[in-house]
Amino acid sequence: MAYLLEVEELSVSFRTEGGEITPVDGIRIALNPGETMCIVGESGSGKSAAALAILRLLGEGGRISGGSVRLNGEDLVSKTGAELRSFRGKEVAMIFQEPMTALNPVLSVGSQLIEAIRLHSKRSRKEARRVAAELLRSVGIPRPEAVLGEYPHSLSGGMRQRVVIAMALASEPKLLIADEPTTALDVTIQAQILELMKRFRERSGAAIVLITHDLGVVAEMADRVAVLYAGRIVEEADVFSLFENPLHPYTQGLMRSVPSPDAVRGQRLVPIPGSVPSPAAMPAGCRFHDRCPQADRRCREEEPPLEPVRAGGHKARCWAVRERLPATDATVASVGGGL
Amino acid sequence: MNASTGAGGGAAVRPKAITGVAADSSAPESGARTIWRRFARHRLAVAGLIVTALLILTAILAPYLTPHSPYAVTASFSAAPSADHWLGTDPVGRDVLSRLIAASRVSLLVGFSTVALYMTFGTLVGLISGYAGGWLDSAVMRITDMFMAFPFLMVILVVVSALGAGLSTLIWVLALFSWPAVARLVRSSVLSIKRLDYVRAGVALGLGTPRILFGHILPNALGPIIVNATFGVASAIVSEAGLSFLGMGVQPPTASWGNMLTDAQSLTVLTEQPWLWVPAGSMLLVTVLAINFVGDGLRDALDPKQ
Repeated sequence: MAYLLEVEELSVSFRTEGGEITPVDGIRIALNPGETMCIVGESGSGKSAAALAILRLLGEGGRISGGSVRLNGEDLVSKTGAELRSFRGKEVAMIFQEPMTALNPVLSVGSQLIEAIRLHSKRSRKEARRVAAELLRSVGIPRPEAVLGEYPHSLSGGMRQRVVIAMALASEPKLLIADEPTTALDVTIQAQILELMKRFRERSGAAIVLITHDLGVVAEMADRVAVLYAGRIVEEADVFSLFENPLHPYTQGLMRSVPSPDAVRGQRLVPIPGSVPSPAAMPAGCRFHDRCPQADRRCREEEPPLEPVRAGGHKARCWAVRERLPATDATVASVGGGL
Repeated sequence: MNASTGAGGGAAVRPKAITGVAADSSAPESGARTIWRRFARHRLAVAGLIVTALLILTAILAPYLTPHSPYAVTASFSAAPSADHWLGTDPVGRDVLSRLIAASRVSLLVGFSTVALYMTFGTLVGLISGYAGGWLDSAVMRITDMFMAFPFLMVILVVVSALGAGLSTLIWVLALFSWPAVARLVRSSVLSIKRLDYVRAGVALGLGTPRILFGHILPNALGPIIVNATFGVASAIVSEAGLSFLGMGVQPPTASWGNMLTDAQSLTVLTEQPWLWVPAGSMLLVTVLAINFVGDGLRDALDPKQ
């Protein structure tokens, strides 16, 4: 079966004063319709750059320095301006983190929504207005007709994020990229927004790429999870395997640093020491080695490959994991991966 | 919130009620109305607006308001104000009041058309330069540097003496040296606006570049542009007066406040025939002050930080 989204060896580079840096280095994502892939990582892991790269929205100084992004088999990396425009919004939509700035403050909610609707479908202004009101209702905004005439500053953060989502869903995209859509919202609103995205996924069969640093959001939303560290995917698995059996020391560290309801009372959270290396000074070998409790000489010298280590496509990029797991499992899996 | 499970149902209802109240109290006020409310707080700005409106009206209706023809020569030269000539006559024997009224046309015409010209061009250049960035931006900015490094007055004097003085030369020359400041102003707004999420969101939705520039970035950069334009009108009027005073601007017999002041170059006129220069000078002062007050009011009204 052909994937809806296929990202192959994607690398993103930015020009900086100190030379070129590569915050995203050879990541691979494959996503079926109706699936949700969460990309998890701390700040600086390159997760936002990866999301922006899919839509070719890197901005000044940024470029895709390698790999390909295919949507429905069409390569987005080689597309020119006009071709890209017909893809953006229509096939792929994006939701940004900050609902306070994601809407134009000088235009009414209605005019922005109507613009988004009319962009990819030939509808009259009146017709588009009706659709806009319907969209607002579908994202749970009370008295949508009135809200159409209002300006973003008169809406709360949660309401704005609903409007942003309504805009993104306006032309029923096949892929929705959400860059920390709930980070700026308080917890109750977070749950509602996630619920909204789930409903959209079920109704339209679209795929979602969700960028987050919140493992709670991952558990709620994801089918598959990719853990990003310093521009590399260090572990990838379906959500159940990842939470039940995190393999990479970094993933294990992430899990330990988050409070869980099952935790023993009085048990301390364990932070991961150190911080993400700067893309300008990537360590040799495994990029996590200087924060890893299990690192040995090999980890410092040679970077492990991202390989299937367990059945079900559970991949990890770690020498220790490869050694620890039964040889048969790993061999079978890597033979499968090689084909 | 203390009773965790039991209050669940109640808590689900409560936020709705709160949302309703909040939405009602912050009844949507259109952007224009907010701006007017803030503008109206400034008494001077409102006064300035009224005076400016009166001036514009005078300029439009000038041919019907002048008691005499501004060009008709009478036998009484430099006559003091009288019942027939309320503000006296000039050294050629023309009615000063009529010339004053006719001159308002010239002054406002120069002010507004110069600003319209260079604002349009400067805004366009600033938008494109700021949004495109890269080598285009650097090239455009070096060009504006070049224009701003020219000794403005000298160049104008040279151009006017080469092309011949006249109203349209004046407008073009003033515009030629005023757009770079606008381009820089607009560019700097664009640089910050284009990084905002709503612009990126627009691109992500598939909007084309012109739509992003004119539909989303320009409206957000409009505040400083409008304020700058207002002050620009005042400053163009002053420049016109200055150049006309020096004989490089509007040429007689066409009346302009500036060339009416030329007579005041003589000490006798300055001390003994105030009707020849006080009216034109006052008009200039009042006009520029009124427009600048409007500009001040607009600056505060359009300031998004308030």
